[in-house]
Amino acid sequence: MQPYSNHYSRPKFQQYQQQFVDYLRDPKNDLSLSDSLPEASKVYAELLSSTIEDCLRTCFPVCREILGSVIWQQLVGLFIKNHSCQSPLYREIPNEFMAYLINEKPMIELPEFMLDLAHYEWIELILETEEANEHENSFPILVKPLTMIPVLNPVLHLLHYRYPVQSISASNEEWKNWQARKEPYEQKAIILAGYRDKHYKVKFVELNSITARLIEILQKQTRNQEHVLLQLADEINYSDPKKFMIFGMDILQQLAEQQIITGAINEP
Amino acid sequence: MSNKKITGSGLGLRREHMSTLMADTPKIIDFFEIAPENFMGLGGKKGADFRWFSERYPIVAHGLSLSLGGEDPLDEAFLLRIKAFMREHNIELYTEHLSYCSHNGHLYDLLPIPFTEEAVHHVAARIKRTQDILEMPIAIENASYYAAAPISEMDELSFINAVINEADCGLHLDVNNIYVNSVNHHYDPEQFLVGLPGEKIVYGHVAGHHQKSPSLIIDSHGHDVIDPVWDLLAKAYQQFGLFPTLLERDFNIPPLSVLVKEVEQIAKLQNDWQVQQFKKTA
Repeated sequence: MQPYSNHYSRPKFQQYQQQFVDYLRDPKNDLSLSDSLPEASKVYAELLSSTIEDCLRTCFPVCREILGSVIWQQLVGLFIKNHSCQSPLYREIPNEFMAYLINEKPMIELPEFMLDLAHYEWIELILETEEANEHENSFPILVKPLTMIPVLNPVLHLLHYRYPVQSISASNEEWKNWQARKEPYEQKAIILAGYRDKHYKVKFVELNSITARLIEILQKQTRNQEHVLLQLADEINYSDPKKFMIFGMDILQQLAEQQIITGAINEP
Repeated sequence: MSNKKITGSGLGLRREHMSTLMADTPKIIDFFEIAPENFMGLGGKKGADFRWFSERYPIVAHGLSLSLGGEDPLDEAFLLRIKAFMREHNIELYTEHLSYCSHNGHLYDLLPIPFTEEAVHHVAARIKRTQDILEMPIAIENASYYAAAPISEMDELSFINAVINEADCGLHLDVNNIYVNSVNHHYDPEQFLVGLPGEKIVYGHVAGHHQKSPSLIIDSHGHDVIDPVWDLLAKAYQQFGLFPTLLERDFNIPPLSVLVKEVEQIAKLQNDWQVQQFKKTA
């Protein structure tokens, strides 16, 4: 992460800024506060650390509690030192942190469920703040005719996790004592629908694989309900399509009640 | 609102007070200010609530992340997003800090530019480019700083004047920052104030700060405004005439009524000045 060379023609103020920022990113390295930096540089190192830590602590409270304050602080320190944040938006610092965890693999021991848990905490912020592109011609509720096309909630993410992220908490010894644990945690795939309801509340609903597949089909294409349900019946080799239609309409109805489906439009 | 001109006294818009303000906005508040970074591309409740304000009140965009003094290339894609955001909400004034906040990536803090000749040219060129892209003049705020760079070739006042002169931009005058710097770097705040290019002032800030030790003040925007800072604001009006002025409060947010008293104090100082002018000409 050093694209700047200290070429002699580089302005002096930029060489100084480089030195200053290098120190802010890694203030524990005593050598970096050299003679050429003022004592008050320490104030900036503290401000930088607390700005980033405050933001991350707000977004990832369970991760922080499970890691404990020592490892958490080390992780935040590594993030500041090694990651180059591309977003100019303060509220996207957690996006940068996720990118760091996933792509740069911090050199520190973390529990194997950390990525799933962090993602689950992060997506809540995304669901809360994401812009919704409402479908203009959508009827407000799902109406019965099979010839209508269901419209999904514009703020909806299908989430696949390997660990039961909703039940991981620091008050549970099983998760809290990850460091002392001998055997790995058991993986158990779960699928959640994360979405924002019309009162701006973020909700998570656990889905079975058939319902999740139905939502996936709706995400990929705009076909009427009958078409979508027939495709699903075919995919899962359901023998009696007529019976499946009744079952499928129940699922669609339930998704509408949950506000995962928010409306319907007529076929063009 | 058809007339979006910024005049009088304003308040920094914080989520904490949005619903109270939407129920009943005190008359003394003529306009609001936001950081565009906090509201651009924002959906959900907060995004919808912000639209309520931008449809009713003039808004000032006070930027945080442009990094005018930084070495990373000026983020022109980001500037285009700011431009679109300002159009969308009918915002006509954009100001930024005379500082930098990125170097090999964003650091989300305002860092002090060394006061050198080369830095003047660098910053002025970036301000000009910003004005070209936004197709409007911008104003830069005199920033607070704690660590004076030993390589500086001039004092802060000369630096600010040189940048504004070369970039031909406006000055966003922050009287609290003058006070903070005057204590941290041992100079006379009034003398500093009168040395600024008054004809370039388009907008002002007043705020509280945190006295960490007798010789170090942190510009936290987390306390009430202190009297010497109010005096400095009155002095600024006396010296340069009126400019729209905003109360900033970003931490330790008290009830709205406490902040409204401070906004009233801004309006009172502005009114005092007008009365004084009237008497002079009468």
